Amino acid sequence: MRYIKLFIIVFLAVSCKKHKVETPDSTAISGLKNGMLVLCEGLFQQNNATLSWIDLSNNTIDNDFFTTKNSRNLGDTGNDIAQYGSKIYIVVNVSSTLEVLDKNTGKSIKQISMLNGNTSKQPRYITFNGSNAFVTCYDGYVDVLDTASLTITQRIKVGDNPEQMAISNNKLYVANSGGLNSPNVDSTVSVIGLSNLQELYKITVGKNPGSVKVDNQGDIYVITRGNYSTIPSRMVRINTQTDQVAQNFSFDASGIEKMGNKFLINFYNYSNSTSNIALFNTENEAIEINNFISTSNITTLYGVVYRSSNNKIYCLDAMSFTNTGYVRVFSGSGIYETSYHVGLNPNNILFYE
Amino acid sequence: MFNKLIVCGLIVIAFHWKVLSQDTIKPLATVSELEQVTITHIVKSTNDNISQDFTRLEILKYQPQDVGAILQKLSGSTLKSYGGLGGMKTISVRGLGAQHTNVVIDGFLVNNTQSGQINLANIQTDNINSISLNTGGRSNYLLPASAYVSGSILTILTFENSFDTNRLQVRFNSKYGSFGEIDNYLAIKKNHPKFFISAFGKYRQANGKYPYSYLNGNNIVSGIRSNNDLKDWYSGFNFGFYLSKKTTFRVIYKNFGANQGLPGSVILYNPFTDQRLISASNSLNFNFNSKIRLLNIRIFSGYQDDKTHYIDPTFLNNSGGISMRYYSQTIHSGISAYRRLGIHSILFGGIDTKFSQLEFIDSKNAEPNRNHTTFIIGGNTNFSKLKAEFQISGQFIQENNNLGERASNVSRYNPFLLIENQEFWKWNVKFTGWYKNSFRIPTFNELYYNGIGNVKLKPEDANQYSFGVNFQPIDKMLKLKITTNSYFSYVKNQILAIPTKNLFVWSMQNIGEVHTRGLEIRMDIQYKLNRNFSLEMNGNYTFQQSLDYSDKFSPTYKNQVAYIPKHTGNGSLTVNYKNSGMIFSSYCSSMKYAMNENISSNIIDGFALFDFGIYSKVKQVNNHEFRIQFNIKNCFNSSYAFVKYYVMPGRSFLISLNYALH
Repeated sequence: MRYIKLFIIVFLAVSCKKHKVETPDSTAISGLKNGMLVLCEGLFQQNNATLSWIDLSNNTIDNDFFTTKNSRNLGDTGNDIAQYGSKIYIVVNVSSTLEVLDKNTGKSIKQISMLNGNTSKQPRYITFNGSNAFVTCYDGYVDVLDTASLTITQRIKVGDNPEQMAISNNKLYVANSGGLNSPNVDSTVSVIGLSNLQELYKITVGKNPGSVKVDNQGDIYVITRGNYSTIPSRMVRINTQTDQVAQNFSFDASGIEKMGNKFLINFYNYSNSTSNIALFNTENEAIEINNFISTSNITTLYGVVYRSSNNKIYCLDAMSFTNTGYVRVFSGSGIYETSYHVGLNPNNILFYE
Repeated sequence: MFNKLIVCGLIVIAFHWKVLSQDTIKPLATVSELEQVTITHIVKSTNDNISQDFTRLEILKYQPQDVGAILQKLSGSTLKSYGGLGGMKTISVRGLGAQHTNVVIDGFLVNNTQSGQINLANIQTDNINSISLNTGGRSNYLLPASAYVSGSILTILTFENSFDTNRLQVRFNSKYGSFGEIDNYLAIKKNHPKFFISAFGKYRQANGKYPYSYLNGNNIVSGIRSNNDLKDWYSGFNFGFYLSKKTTFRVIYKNFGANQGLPGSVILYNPFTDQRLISASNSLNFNFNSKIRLLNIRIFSGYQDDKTHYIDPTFLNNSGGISMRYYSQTIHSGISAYRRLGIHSILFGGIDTKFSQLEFIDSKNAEPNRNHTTFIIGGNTNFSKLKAEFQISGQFIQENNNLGERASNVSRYNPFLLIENQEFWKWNVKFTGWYKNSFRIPTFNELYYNGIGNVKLKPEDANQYSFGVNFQPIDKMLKLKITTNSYFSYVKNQILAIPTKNLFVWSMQNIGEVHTRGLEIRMDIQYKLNRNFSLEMNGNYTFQQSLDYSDKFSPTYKNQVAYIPKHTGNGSLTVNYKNSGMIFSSYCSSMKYAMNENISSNIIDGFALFDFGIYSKVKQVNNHEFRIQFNIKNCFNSSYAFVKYYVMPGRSFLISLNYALH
């Protein structure tokens, strides 16, 4: 009996110790607060997508965060990362997986294979609504994932090679790039009704749609990337009441980041390797400041992320794509503050308060 | 992603279109072997400072899969192998790109204007009498002028295309190996005092399903390579006859076909690949050699066509995949000659012109063709203690594109200078110093390929300086020969792919500059105790510091360039007893980087491979030679890769039967 008691005590002690390692308290020790998780895409066929964890309390960087936490690598071409509820979702394009992590520990909850028989679905981006996650797949579908059971419940047929999505007015707007049919690319946005999860119709927006964002007024903005030569990369606005193109803008744009009721419009010019970040007002639909941020210390602008809680702008510098990149931090008014050296081709950031 | 795939597709295609000497002591080669190597129309030099060779007997010993595998054993060369029978293999010599090495078989250049890279896995070794890699200088004078203008020259002489004295000659090789390898080669040659005629054919296949393992984080992942099957074959005939005592005429016809899966790199969590490559080529060459008093002259003309079909059924476009076809043709004609001037000098020269065209079936803006004329003129002379050789070459390249913008024409002159000591001093010490200036013209893919090509490309320039010493301190029952070479080379306007339209559309730019400092040491030991027992040991070591000087402000400035290991080495030991023997050989490579940034995540681990072979020959009776050999490759089952995530096979076995009628 004494032995049983001893056993129970030891067991509890061990369990407690073990338990302690996994409590949110101890993740504070392991660092998952006051920091940022940077998805570094890596390069095609090199299996070098990584997660960088930057601990802002002491400015330390772990550029191998995913592997440290999960004893295996993330895979090939990490395309998108998003947090929803207590989970982190990472879309790994060439590996064709959806990695679901515990937000507090960074440990894998489930790896969802995005293969259709022997063919890769090539997942691209993820967005959420209610209990569902929507994942665009390059085979022409939006997969619906139940975020509780973490299983694909439905595939919604859309246009060719869909890219980013945004939600407005109880509808999901999906950019159909058709990039794999180049030069005969797609030019439509599929509108999916969120109540019946079916494509309602397509809106023609311009060649090779990619980025999609919604503003505070519920308007949808789409970047049509053109053909990289004669047709420039531009932004269009969709009125979500009428689902018609309401406005075509005449400035160069390759990506949109929302900053309150404004947009940060970034543009990287591949022909001369220069970049520009403009401030766009979504109320009067006009550029407010053309060169909002001095990009002179950015080698290859690959994305912009705004964090509202500290009003800072994080520019992702891909360093000519073959060298490890940087996160370059600017104040909300566009003044350069600092840089963090991360992995290869950083493309998105999740912030931890 | 799409364009990434295109880039990948292009790279894969480029890969699949179709890199020094240790054994200067060759007394083990039988007299008949040496006779076969001494081809009447070629004057061969034996300067170990500028060339490295293998003979048929050495090739038999190592049983290499292909020429790529044999060149891996040479110092100064860096092999890049994507794995599997028929998988892409290229050799970079002294830090210059693979396109800086010309391949010449039986005096004819192997052309590839589309990708510029010859897949050395498609050149098999069954029919090779001798193979030699010349880094500087020349081993003979009658190759096409255009062969001498590259950074280095790989020269192959075949059994099928040589005049011989014996009436009937036969070569038959049959190999059976791991991963479904079956490989049969037969060549028959009828010789006559006035002519020879030969016919040959070869077929090989493999399922390529080799086991591999690699490290994913902390986990060792094992798998079996898939979509790595190969079937390839070639056949052809040669004939040659004496028009007069000093004049010969030869005709060479050869066709080649292959159907293979392209396994690609191992992708984590996604094991499926379905890409295939089907290739076919034909070549017909005519050759005329004559000796008119002191003048040796060669006139040649050849035609080569290549068809390639790349298929990717899983590509997510509307037409249900990619099916791309490419047709290219080359016509090449020219004259080479040399003449002795007195007893101390030789004057040589040549001119040839090559017309190449390419049709990309899926392209609406490129159908390129090119006229490439090359001349060389030079001479060498022996002073009392020194020999000097000088060569100047000129190249005139005219570019055309039937469907769109064309590249600029190029005209250039490049010098070559070599000085070596003439007298063999104590220990037969020989010093050789040389300088070579050369360039490579951008390939059709680099200039015109959809979305990737850049018609504004300039040629990639190479400059090489080399100094070598070889000596033979012991030459008795025990023979010892040591060769060392140190070199410096720099490449300017290196053609590299960088993203120019978006991350996925990479395009070609002249942005690279690479400086390479190298050191090669080779040692050959031979010990012959008596008629029955002999030992041979060969070893070489190469140090290569190849640094990126492209951009002072880049994080990779002065970093070791991708895929060049700093240290590589080879060693082999052969024990011969009567008609049997054993061969131990090894290849070692230090770690290298997969990209120019020298950081830990780009490291490809170094490795050491050990091979073992045992052979037995039935005593030669009436010119019949029968040999059986058993080889174990990668004895210790190392997991390794030349190219990141292109996993290589573990331990494998090969049994080979060779019959020769000399």
